[in-house]
Amino acid sequence: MLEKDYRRLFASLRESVDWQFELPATMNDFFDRQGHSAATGLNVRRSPRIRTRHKAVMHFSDPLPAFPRPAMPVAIYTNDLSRTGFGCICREQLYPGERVHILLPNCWLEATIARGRRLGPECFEAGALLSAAHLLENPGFRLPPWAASRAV
Amino acid sequence: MTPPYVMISAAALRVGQPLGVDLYLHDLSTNQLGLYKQADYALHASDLEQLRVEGKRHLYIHREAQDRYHEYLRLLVSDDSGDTPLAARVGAMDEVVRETLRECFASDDPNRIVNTAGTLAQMVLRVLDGSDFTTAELLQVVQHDYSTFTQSANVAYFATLLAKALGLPSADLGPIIAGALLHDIGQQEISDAILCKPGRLDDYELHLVRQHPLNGFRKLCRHDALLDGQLMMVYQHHEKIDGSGYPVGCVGDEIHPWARLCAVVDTFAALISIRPYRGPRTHERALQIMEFDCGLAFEPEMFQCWKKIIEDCSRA
Repeated sequence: MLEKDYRRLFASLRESVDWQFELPATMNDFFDRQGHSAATGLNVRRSPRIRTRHKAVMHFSDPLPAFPRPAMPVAIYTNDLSRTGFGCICREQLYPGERVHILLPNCWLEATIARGRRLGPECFEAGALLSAAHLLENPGFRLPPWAASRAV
Repeated sequence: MTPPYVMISAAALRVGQPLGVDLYLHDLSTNQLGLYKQADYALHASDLEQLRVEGKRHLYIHREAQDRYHEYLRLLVSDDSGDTPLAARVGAMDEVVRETLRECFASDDPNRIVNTAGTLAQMVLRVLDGSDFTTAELLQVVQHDYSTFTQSANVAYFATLLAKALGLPSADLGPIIAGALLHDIGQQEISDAILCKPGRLDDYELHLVRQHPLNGFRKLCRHDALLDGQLMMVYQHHEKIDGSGYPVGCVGDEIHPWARLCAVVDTFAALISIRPYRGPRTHERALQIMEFDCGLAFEPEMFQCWKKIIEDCSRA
């Protein structure tokens, strides 16, 4: 039942969020590049990253006091995922310290934004640290607290 | 072991009033401190002039006398009766700001740091906004040593001047000064070995230094007393309007106006300060260097306004 609710919630949010943002021209093959991603330069990461590029949805679960956020989730493109971190691309600039929920087809994640970088006009990349992962396949799966009423 | 003496600024000394603490001077020939004036001695104008002529900008007091000295400074700063010469008030303010920042940054307690910055900002505003001081007087008083506290203090004073000259609302001045005092708080996480390195930083060290806006923002972002503009002064003061700055690479209006203002005065303050790898630049040279980046790093209107402030001051 919960699984159905979650899939319905995810589908409905993915439909309703605004996808009107463009990746820079240099990233035209963004969705074609999947799989392992090598660490570069001074990026010191604890876990290897895997490119997992899909349309997903992000909810600001605990915005910063000085930067209020809409209650409505926003559209994101997932970029990469590791055991401890998550990367995404979105229209808004995300600020370090913001706590977010990221909804993917088979799970939702709790994360805290760690850094951001501008890619182009109204297009920002962000890296986040994962604090919890709620997998549909897990027996204790629950919906995000803010979404429970939407799913019914 | 803690050194028994602490350095104080000659700018905060006032004529005609005993300081209440013994003053010491550094004797270059012996490389030792010698007693200059006893605690009950009331300084004469000629004493201060002599120090100025000899280029002695710093004196020393016993560490045990520090509390008494701070009390003297606070009384001086708050004396708006007109009896205290403005230069001494500004000098005392500068000492109080730098010393208080040093103490509270060391506490690593965001609440204390934010509250202290707010209190100091009100003091700076009272002294700089409530009197007819000149920019020249301020530039004579400010210190040029390379420390985060000196840089933060100077940026706060310069930000006050620039914000006023740009005609920003007076209600914004206090928060802008507080934001300027906090803008480099992320440098607390960088070791002195890197900050004071006399040579060129390697790539990794540069990477660490460039983390400081991010570190500072992370430290303060959950504090509900801070405005978005103040946090952006911390986070965006190394952004450039052409997008080549860090940490995000924001362009133009994506950078908060207070952060754009902070970038101008922060760069100027850095250029005129003594760095481990170079001496201070003159005001003229600093403006020349910054002019190359006008329209790239800095917003032209803000830079031109700052240039006019400094050039008017030089002409005066």
